[in-house]
Parts: sequence; C-alpha cells; structure tokens
Amino acid sequence: MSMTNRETSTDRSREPAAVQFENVSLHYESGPEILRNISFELPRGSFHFLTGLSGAGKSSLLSLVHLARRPTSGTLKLFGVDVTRAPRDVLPDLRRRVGFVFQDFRLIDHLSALENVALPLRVAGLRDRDIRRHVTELLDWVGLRDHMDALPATLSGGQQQRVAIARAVISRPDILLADEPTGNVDDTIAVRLLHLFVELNKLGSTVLIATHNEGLVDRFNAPRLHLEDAAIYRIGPPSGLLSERLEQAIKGGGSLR
Amino acid sequence: MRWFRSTLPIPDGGATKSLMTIAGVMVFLAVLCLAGALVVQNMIGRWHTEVTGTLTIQVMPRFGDPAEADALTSADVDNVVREVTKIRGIQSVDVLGEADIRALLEPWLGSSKMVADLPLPRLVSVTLNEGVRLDVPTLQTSLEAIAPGVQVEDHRRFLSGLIVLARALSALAWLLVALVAAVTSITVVNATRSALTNHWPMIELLHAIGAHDHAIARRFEWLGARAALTGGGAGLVLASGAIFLIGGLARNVQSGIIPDLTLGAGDWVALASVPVCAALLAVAATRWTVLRALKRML
Ligand SMILES: Nc1ncnc2c1ncn2[C@@H]1O[C@H](COP(=O)(O)OP(=O)(O)OP(=O)(O)O)[C@@H](O)[C@H]1O
Ligand SMILES: [Mg+2]
Repeated sequence: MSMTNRETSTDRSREPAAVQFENVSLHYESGPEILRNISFELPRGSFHFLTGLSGAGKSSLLSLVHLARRPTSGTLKLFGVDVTRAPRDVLPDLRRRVGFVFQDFRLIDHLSALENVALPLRVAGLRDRDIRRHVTELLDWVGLRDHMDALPATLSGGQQQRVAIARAVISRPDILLADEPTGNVDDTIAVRLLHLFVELNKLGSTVLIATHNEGLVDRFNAPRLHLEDAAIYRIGPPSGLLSERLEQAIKGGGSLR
Repeated sequence: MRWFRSTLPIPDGGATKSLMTIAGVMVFLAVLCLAGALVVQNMIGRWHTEVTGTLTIQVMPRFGDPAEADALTSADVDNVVREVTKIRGIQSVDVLGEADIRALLEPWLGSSKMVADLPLPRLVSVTLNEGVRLDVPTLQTSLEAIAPGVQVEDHRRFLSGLIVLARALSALAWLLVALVAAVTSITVVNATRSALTNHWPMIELLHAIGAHDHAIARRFEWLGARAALTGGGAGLVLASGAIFLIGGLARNVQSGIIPDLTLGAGDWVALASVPVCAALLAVAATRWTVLRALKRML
C-alpha cells in the first residue's frame, strides 16, 4: 500500500481526541432511547471494538460519528470540533476524514469495483491518473486484482465486502468505522480483513469496529465498548492500543493473495 | 469545462434524453414567438416614427374653367406652403408633383385618358424635426382660412388603432415566451427529481463520503445544460428555417397589405440566445431542485 508513516512519533496526548461523546442521547422520531446519556472518547490512533446484541444501537452510534444524523441531545466532537453545533457546510470536509464500511456495503450497481473504490478520491478531486494508480494498488492488495472491472452484482458476498472495505480505506481516513465488516465471511477471512484495519491503525487512523461476533473479538485483546440497555461499558485494556495477540492472530491468518 | 462537467460518475439516465426533446420543442416555440414579437415591435417602431414625424396636407382642387381652376389651386398650395413654413420645427415641406399623385392613384383609378383629365387634390408632405409635435386641429383651422377644404392628416387616427392591435399581439407573444419558459422550468424540475430518485442511493453515498452539495448539484446542472443546449440548438435551427420560409412567402406576396416582416441583426442575436437562455434556465432549475433535495440530509 502506498501509505506513508505519519504522526507516529508525535505526542498525541495533548491533541483533542478523535471522537468524543459527552452525555449523548439518541432516539428516533417516536421510538425509545437508543443511547442514553453516554460519554466516552476514542484517543487518536486507538483501536476499539463496539459490541452489543442485535438492535442494541451499534449502527446508530456509528451513524452519529459518521455524521449521518445528529444526536437528540449532548455533544459530539470529532478532532475537537463540536459537530452537533457546526454549520452544515463544514460537515463534508469532516466526513472525508471518516471512512465507513456500511453493514450493507452500499456499492453502486452500475460502477465497476474499481470505480466504486475510486469514489472517495473523485469526491476529493484527485486526477484520474492518480486515482487509477491508488485504486489498482489497493484492490490488488485485498485480492481483487482479477475483479477490478467486475460489477458488484457479479461478485461474491465476501468479495463485495472487500470492495466496500477498500472504498472505506482508500483515502486513508483519520477515523475508520466499520459496521459488521466480517459478517459475510468465515473467521479465517475475517481475520485477514482485519489486517487492513490494523495496517491503517498503525499509520495513525483511529479504528472502531462494530460487531456481534464475540468469538472474533475474544481472539483479539483490543479494548471493547459494549452497548447494552442504551448505556455503554468499557471492557478490556484501557489504552486502546493493539496488543501483541492481535498482531499474532493476523500473522497467523496469512496473506490475502 | 472540466470544472463544470464534474467528475462524479452519476450517469445521465433516460431523463436527459426526454429533456433534450422537450427543450427542442420549447426552444422552437419560444423562438417563433419571440420572432413574432420582434417583427411586430419593429413594425410599431417604424409606424411610430412615421406617425410622429410627418403630416400630409391635402389641398382640394378648385372647380370651373380648367386652366383658371388649376391656377387657383396652385395659389392655394403656395399659400399653404408659405403658412406651414412659418411654423417652427419644420424640417421640410414638399409639394408632390402631379405625376407622383397620379402614380399613387393608379392602382385604384387606372391610367386612362378620362382619369388624366380628373381634377386631383394636391398633396403637401410635411416632415417635422425629431420630437416636434404639432397641434393638428389648430393648424387645420388656420389653413382652412387660406385654402377652403384643406385637410391636415397626421395618420394618427388611422395608425393608432393598428398600433394598439400590434402592441396587443406583441404582448401576447411575450406572454407565450414566458409560458414556454415556465413550462420548461417545471419540466426540468420534474426531470431532475426523477433523476434524483433513480440515483438516490448513489447520491446518499456521495453525500456520506463527503461530497459537497454544490459538487453533486453541478453534475446535474451539467447534464441539464447539455440537454437544453443540444435540444435547444436543434429547436433554434428548425425555427430559423421556419422564419426564413415564412419571410420568403411574405416577400413573394409583394403587396402593401402585408407589412415588411424583417428581423435585424440584433433580433437574430436575440433569437440565437434562446437556447443559451434555456440552458441557463435548466442550470438554475436543476440547481434549485438538487440543493433542496440534499438539504434534507444532514
Ligand atoms: N432509521 C431508523 N428509524 C427508526 N428506528 C431505527 C432506525 N434505525 C435503527 N432504528 C432502531 O434503533 C434500534 C437500534 O438499531 P441499530 O441498527 O443501531 O442496531 P445494531 O446494534 O446495529 O443492530 P445489528 O447488530 O442487528 O446491526 C433498533 O431497535 C432499530 O429498530
Ligand atoms: Mg447494525
């Protein structure tokens, strides 16, 4: 991958956290509270899992970070910017710093795998030549070298998932959110896919992965945020830094090619 | 151009094709209406200068012994000319020769020997300086004292009815242009809405990955402008053909009944700008529609 080392040696403690929830509550129109007065923060460069039963509100929580909706009350800050009060026209630039793997992929039917992955770069206004180079490299890396021009409908579920992940990481976002990114693949491939997130995390991205695959989470010693009854609990090492065990697990998973 | 085209790969679905056809028809109609309005306006303009700038004084012939009567009539004409020349603001006073008058009357009376002997009224044509207006009834009274039976004709009575009619026609044509523009805008808005619906998943995704509203809108503006320009260009060509055809037919008639149907260079520029206006309208309408739809998302 063409990612270069960045920010690794700077002192992160004095910078504002990548994600900061302060007494955030959320409920839909007439529904019950999905999140009740929750507070936590994700330091820059941290790696967390977000767990909870189906319907606990994991996707809802991610949608707040990814600026798809505003909380009903409380304050949410990204990189110290209060996004709950920020004017609407500053949000696009913040969104570009947040990569998102949708639970349902949201690939565009009429665009090839390559063009799907290229979208964030097009939005950022890169030139065609550079876009092609970056995307080809990444698709090669996730093992889709032979499927670059394939339409999503002709790809298997796992391949579609890899396209969705590639699209989320192509612009090297400062925050990477993934909603059940390993839902469609067996544990071996799931571990391989996590390699990408770990790579990105090593380069400074803050990673938050929602999953209800407790088995997978247990195999890694990464800290974990658990949603239950609209409240959030922190489980595991507080540092939020990847443990040796995760590194081992990934190495054990082997190469993607 | 690249800036305007936008690189977001939102495809142009069938919506722009039908938009192109509609833009063609609308521009065709608008160009014809506008051409009609401009022709009528040119006509009014010409009539107006004629009405305000000239007078015709008709001196009735005296009767009696031909030679004697003719001399009397000539004296009347001389007196009238002298009187009129005294008035301020007169540019020229011309007495139409008998040959001119006979030529004017020939279509109605023929040129036989009998007609040649008819005593004819004499005509004095008065051209006023620009902006000068004469009190016609007063002039009429003062001239009647010199030459009995004299008639001062300022064309106004004759033309004012025509001008009202022409103004109404031109207003109607402009109203039609406005209606065509309104219908076009509504069509563009609807076509844009259906394009938005067709591509909504993609637009949502582009929004989610940080595309600015105006970048998404620009893509649709480009599609709308292109459809309006190509369709409208074809409409303009067809309408121009129709105008030339009608103009040619009108010139073939060669009669005073049909007024001169001409369009100046400026008029053609105005007609040629109709597809451009249609494109600008399409840009404004798509922009408004897309931005409004996007505002519903955070
Ligand atoms: N757009 C919405 N409008 C109304 N209610 C919603 C909406 N999205 C989610 N909900 C409700 O909010 C609750 C939490 O949903 P959410 O999708 O966040 O759960 P989740 O933890 O992601 O579940 P899963 O593990 O199955 O993906 C559910 O009860 C759901 O019905
Ligand atoms: Mg979910």
